[in-house]
Amino acid sequence: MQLLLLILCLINTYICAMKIKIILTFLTTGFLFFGNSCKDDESLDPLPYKGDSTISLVFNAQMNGANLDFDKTDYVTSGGDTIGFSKMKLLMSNIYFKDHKGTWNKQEDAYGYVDLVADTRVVEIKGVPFGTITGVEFELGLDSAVNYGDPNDWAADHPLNPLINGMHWSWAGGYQFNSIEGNYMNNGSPGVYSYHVSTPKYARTFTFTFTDFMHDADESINFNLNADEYFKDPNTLSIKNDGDLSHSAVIDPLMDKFIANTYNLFEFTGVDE
Amino acid sequence: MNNKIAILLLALSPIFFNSCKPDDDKPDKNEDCNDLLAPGQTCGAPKPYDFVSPSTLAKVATPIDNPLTEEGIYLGRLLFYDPILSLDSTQSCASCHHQDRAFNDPSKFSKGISGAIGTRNSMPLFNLLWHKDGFFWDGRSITLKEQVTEPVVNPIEMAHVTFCDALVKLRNSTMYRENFCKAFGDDEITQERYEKALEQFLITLVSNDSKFDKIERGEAGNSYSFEELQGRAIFFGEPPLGGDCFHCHGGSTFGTHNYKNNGLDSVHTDFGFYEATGKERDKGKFKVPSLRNIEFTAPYMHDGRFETLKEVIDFYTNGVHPNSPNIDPLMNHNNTGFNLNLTEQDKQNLIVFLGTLSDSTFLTNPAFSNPFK
Repeated sequence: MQLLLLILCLINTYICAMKIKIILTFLTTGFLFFGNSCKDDESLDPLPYKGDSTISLVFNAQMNGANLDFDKTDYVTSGGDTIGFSKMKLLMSNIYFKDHKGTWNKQEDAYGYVDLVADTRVVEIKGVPFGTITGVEFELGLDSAVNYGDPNDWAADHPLNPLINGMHWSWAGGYQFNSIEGNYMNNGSPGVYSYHVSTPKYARTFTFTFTDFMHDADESINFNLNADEYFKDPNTLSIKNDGDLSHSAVIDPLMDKFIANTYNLFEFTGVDE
Repeated sequence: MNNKIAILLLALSPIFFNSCKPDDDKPDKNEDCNDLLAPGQTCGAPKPYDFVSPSTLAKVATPIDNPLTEEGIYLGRLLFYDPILSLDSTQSCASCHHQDRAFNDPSKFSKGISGAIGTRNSMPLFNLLWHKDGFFWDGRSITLKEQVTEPVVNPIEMAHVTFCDALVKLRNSTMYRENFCKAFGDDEITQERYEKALEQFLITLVSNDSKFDKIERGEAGNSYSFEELQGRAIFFGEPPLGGDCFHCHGGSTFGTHNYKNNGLDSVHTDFGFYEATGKERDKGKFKVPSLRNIEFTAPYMHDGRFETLKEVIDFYTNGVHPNSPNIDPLMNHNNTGFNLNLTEQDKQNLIVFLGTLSDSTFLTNPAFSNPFK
């Protein structure tokens, strides 16, 4: 914007025709008055115009540094297992955006459901007020009242409707928050594994800050879900040796290990404006 | 000589430049269908039907492109029970979907008009709006509208050569012209309207008045017996004490309705869901059915191999084939592997609990019954 103003000023200087000078003067004044947003952060927010639109959180499954192919059954993990994935689902809530003042603003009634096998990769948060965004946070988990509430209360197209997400464990068990299943080779024989993260104990929050962008239209914030992390860091997790099943029991050392590995599961990859 | 060659080529040229298509001279079998009859009569607007999601089932939405009306539902009910839809007018949808069996067929395989036997057990029909992942055991019909057309032209079922043939029969019926008029505002009879009418009727086949539902709704005078409670704990519990049933047959529909391989066979002879998707990972997977009304819907599994619930539970207890290709991960249970740790009493209690999912009012609801009787 400053460059544009400079150019307009220079042109105005060298133009002799009065009519053109007048027009350029109006343009320059107009930009100065209405359009100059290149000052310090104090004047970035709020925008001179109000509004809201959608921010989408978009997830891309990766395995060992490449796009994850759900038809592939021979990925090798850090734990030394040869595996494939038949299920990879997430359920999220408590979604926040950080503004230019450093305030985390909760997006009310925002929930998300992701099914990467079915290519349901986008969580839309509608009605996000315009302004500068410098971070995003979401929880793979649900508040207890929601988790153990009546799942039949949710609207037909709501992410928490069990028909939509397939992640509700009937009336007593609440929802799964982070669920993977698939195949692995068990001493030369085909085996299967399932890890279902659930219960408040295993809910996890993921926080990202980044170079700010101006939210003034529909945008998307992109993430990789690096599935190899499930088996890598800080715990090298072997399906064969550590166990091929955990459904978040009350005392569950395997799930303790698994959930610790998810701290690095997501990688922010950029914003599409 | 050159002139003769030129004349010869000229004479032969029509052979190479004939723009007629192979069937130009043959009557198009679909002409009767494509040439929509001009409406002979018009009728008033149909009366909207207020569909409400029951409280004991997850909320669903009716199709935007097919709002339910009383006349549309009634028309669908006529079509469901009318053998006019079969080639020889002897068989209707209801011939293989008996209301007193929750719209299932008590035969292992249904028989078509020619006497041909199918290869899969007929599926029960209820709570179809809660199916999000297609229809038939192999999911080959994405929508209910697609599903209702196929049996009419399936050679081993109702066996019309083309769907148009069935439509012609309907158009020749004064009764159907009147009822299509009431349902759609005029008496044009098309495949689309047929599909919509049947979809509307099938959507209304809602079953939610079992003992389980009554207890969930807090209705007075309903409570579980001791055996039912024991069975309920097994149903909703994981091994070593539970049966882990809820993982695939949980939720308000008591079935996920997606596609899984439960380890019936170590070698697949019926590839199931693969036939719809073409994906190797879907071989041997079949639609997970609801366990509501399971008491009435024997025989069980996609091929009707089990006559009784006891046989089903015995299979899940120690009959699963762990090496079945594409077996579902949820067949591998906590502490017990691919088996369950159920005693004979546990099995009996589980069967008793499954009885609480029976909705006998559904079996006799006159709104779903044969309108020709």
